[in-house]
Amino acid sequence: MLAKPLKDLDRGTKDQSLDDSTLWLSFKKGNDLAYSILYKKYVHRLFNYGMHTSKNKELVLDCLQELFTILWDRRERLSEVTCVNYYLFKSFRRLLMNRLTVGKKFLISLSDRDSYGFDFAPSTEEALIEEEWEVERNRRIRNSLNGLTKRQREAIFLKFFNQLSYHEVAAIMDLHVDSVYNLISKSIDILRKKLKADAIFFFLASYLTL
Amino acid sequence: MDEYFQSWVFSPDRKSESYWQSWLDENPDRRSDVEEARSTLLRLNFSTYTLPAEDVSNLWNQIRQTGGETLNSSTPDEQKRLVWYSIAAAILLGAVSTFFWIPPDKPIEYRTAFGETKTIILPDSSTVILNSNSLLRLQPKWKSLSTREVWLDGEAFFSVIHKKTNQPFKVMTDENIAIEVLGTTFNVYHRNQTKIVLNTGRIQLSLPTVKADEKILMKPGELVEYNEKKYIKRMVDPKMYTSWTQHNLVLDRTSLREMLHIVKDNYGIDVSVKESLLDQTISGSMPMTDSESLLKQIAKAFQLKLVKEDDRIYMKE
Repeated sequence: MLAKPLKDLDRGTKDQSLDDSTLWLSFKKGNDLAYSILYKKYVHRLFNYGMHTSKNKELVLDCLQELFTILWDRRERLSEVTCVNYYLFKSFRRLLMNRLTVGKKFLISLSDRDSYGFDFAPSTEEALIEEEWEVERNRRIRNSLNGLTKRQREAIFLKFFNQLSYHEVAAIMDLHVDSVYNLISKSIDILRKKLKADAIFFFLASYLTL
Repeated sequence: MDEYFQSWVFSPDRKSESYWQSWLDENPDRRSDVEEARSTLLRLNFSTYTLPAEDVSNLWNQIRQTGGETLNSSTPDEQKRLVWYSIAAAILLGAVSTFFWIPPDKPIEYRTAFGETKTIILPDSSTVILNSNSLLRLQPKWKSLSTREVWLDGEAFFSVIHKKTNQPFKVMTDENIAIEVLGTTFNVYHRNQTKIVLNTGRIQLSLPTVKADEKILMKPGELVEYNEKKYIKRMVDPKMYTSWTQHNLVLDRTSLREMLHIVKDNYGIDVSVKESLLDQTISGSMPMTDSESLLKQIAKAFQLKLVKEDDRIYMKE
């Protein structure tokens, strides 16, 4: 399964004609149905995000259960949220980070190498591509994408694949907005350079086979 | 990175398409840059971790503590013993032949007490709101059956997800009433009589009537009332029949008799009233939070006094 911009993940409920803030308001008034619609809409995105962050399904499910239980218990005291998407990502990340840092006390900093999490999948066409050089090129692109730091990948993941604004990404990741702009433009730069290098590689490859 | 540019890349529509086309025509020298940035973004693909529908349903039921219990479930001790027996059996039989121990499957039940409602997410992501004093039962291995069949006693509001495979969804009650749908929202009331109201979509009813088993097609806004092997179909305002899901009671020339029925259905409380008062009606709406305040509101609306005498409740002039 591949992530495209999240439209695909929203499948499932037809009763989504209501917008998030309307649902949020009636959820705050104790409407269970509205809450179940919000839950069904966001549980997939948050699960996906959580798995990218920790790879531990049990932990991710635990945090999701905690998040949605707390929200229901405190619904009357919650503020009127204008961007539910952002609010849920932010709260969920906080829960996840708490749990992950508790666990880290017992781990040597091996996992800080930024090498896992927010990994990319092969592009959709790959299965259909028979040309060897294209497979090779895709592999190289993927490697270079995975060569970005975890933070860069997370920023791109939130910005482009979860419809969050630069300001929201910054707040979620506890960064300044400027840093997020930097993170993302640097990543795009790296990717562009890689593509350029690939163009040369492709040129050389076709030249040599002549 | 321009936001407008992103939206063009990921979800091009006519507006963004023409905007970028004209921009490209004006800046031909930047064409390769645009193409490059576009293909870079299109090549980004994160792996997707999908949460199975069963997990979505289980997690929700844990969150809202509406966990379905399996029927006749044995105590933990019994279960432990069972496991040991089966392991022993497996070892014994394993010596002779390959042995698979398949745990017996049990139906899953969701129940509500008087004055309680529950929102349930089924393993196919359909939603059911179960009204008070009701029971919903699912067969084991429910999702893999050819029909998603549930058994209902009481009242429930269904919001059924349409499956790509057109797998039907069927609500069964005793008296052999069956409601078959593909994907719709509707309300089923099955207590002393049966009422089905369709909010959206289409449903097919199978009713055992005096003549034969009748199949009835329902359109949105229709109500079918079924009692003693006869039925009537008429147009209603569906909101009146589903307002309970919002903890609200919508009344339209509703008689005191009907309202006391509602009190009995939802809270299991009998109220004694002089027969001559029962056919008065009122219209409007009232919140349904608990039995006490509902009774007070009803008494007030009909200008009656609420009296409690030796564990019995009366409404008097």
